[in-house]
Amino acid sequence: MTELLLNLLKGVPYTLGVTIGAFVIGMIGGVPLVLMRRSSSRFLRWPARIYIDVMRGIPPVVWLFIIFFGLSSVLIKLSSFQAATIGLGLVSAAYLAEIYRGGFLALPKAQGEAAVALGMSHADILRYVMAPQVLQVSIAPMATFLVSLLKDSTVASTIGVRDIMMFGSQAAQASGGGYAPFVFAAALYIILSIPVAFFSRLMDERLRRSIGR
Amino acid sequence: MTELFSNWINWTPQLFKGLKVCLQLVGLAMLFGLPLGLGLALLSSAKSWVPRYLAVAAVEIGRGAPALVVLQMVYYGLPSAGLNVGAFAAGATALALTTGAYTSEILRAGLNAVPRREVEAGMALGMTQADIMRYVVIPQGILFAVPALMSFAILIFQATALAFTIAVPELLARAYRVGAATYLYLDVLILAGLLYLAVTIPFGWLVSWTERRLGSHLG
Amino acid sequence: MSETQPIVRLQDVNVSYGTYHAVKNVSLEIARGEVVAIVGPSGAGKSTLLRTINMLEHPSAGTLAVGDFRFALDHALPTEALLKLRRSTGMVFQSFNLFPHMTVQRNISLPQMRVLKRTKAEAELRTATLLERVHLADKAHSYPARLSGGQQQRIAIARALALDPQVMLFDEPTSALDPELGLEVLSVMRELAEDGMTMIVVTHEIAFAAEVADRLVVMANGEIIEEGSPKEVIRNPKSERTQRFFRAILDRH
Repeated sequence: MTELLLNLLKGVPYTLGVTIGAFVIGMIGGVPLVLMRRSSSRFLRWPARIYIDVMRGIPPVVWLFIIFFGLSSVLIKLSSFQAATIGLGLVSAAYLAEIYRGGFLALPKAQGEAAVALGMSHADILRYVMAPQVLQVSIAPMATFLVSLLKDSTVASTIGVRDIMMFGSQAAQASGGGYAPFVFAAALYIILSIPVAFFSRLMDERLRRSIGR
Repeated sequence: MTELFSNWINWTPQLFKGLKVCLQLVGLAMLFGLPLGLGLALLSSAKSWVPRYLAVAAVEIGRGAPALVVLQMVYYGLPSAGLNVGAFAAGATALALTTGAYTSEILRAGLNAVPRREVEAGMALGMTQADIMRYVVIPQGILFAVPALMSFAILIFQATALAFTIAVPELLARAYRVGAATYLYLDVLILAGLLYLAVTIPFGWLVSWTERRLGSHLG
Repeated sequence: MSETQPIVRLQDVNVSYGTYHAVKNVSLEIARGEVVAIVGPSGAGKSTLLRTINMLEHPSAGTLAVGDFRFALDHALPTEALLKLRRSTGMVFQSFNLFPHMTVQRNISLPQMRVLKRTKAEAELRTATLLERVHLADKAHSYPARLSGGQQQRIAIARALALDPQVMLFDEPTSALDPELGLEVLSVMRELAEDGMTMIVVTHEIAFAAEVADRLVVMANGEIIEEGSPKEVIRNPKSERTQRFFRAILDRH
């Protein structure tokens, strides 16, 4: 049994790698997306909406297949880890853009108006007034999303990434079809998600103090 | 380009069969998962701590375990318990369990959203707690939960794509098979993607419409 | 039960929320057919006292007698007893508390069917009669959200009456209503009183209390500080606290 656990742990770096990598790509990519989505020009708005709806409307595993099997044969050859991280990153950008959008919608209008009255430029208003507050409101949904991303990272195993899920499957096949490896794998994923809750509360406190709410 | 389209036309019938399987899986998952979710939601608000703790534990585990893990666990686990029901049934069961866990939280929120003052009115009328739940709280709780349940249905529909790992002949499995045979992976996977979108996007519009309609009915 | 026995009797009732003592040793008797109005400043414990009569509050001590039931309040009541008690009392709330997902008719009929085990036909007949009585016969198939506050409150009164209670309890029935809509409700309440219903009304409507009530009870700080016929209490309040209360009301009109 301990051998099983040790095997599963071998997958942890890859699970975390895909998860965090995709999350970072998504966090960064979501920013231009939400700005385009909120833009007054429909040439920016529509592509953003289409990207978001299409990325969120197709199962993540299908995207991974498209990138790994589809693009690899046509464009560039990616490793399964790269394909998984980029694929999940692109999907995450869409979800995070929507989370950011929720943050913007939660802002009181009056603040934007006050800043404009003070003569601040739009870029400055965005950067100093709106962004910190959008960020603070978004922390909780972002944490929830990170946990679900951790679980979605299991799809990486379907294109060959040697993550926790992959080792679990191998163990199950080796032992002739038991379900015990999966019980341990599930427990491992649950354990990994606990720090996220603490971390998100920490970030929330920090941001709250710096904004002075 | 025309070759692409003619290929698409050729592949559509078999991919469609796969889409049907996906829809069947979602249907079964919701059909069995929702009652399970309601039961868990009611149990997790129970007064005595035994059912409450059990329900909360089941929900946390059901929500914490990745869907792919649950799929494999049920697929390998059922035969061990002597139930050789096949991949489709295993997939439907696994998705129903996941649905039960997630929807129990959605339904619990819906049930809690029913104003306490209506429960008080029921009590003042001498209605039993069971009747108050049955006629006042649960009907409205479910109604409040409908938009979130519909959004969740979209997610479970997307999760059916994972069933290919347990050899269920759904949409992604069939697309991959075509790809492996023709090496035109990109073409067929994009077609598969479009078929997924053909369900998720209109359903998304339906969700928004439903949210708006429900807002006015109970407001 | 003899004619002279009170239909509701509260003795030494105490209700606390944590350390806050909302009702302090209150005793009150209400005769059959009597209309009692309870008034006083906010936070006096009026609603809490009223809600003790149908046990929506959790008293810590005292005794309660309603009709033929007698309860000691220092321990929890068994469910059967609670249900019987609540069947003999009808309550009308400040925020009406109708069931929004049911039509008016179902709001009034369902409790009859479930609580009194009436058949659908019996219940709907009684419902129709009551809707006539509150002057809303044409609204049977409407949903509460479509009705004005005054109409909703009258439906709520009909719903409570449908169970043929011995006592009707009103918890600030017009406080959430515009004055005009409030008048509709008060007029129904007046008719009810004239028909001989025993009524206990917590209200801010002193004029209504003066006109319709047989007895006025003034509460402050969880205690009854004065009671008597409305005319007496309003014109010659004995305690200083009561005087202050009525003076404040007069100043605002």
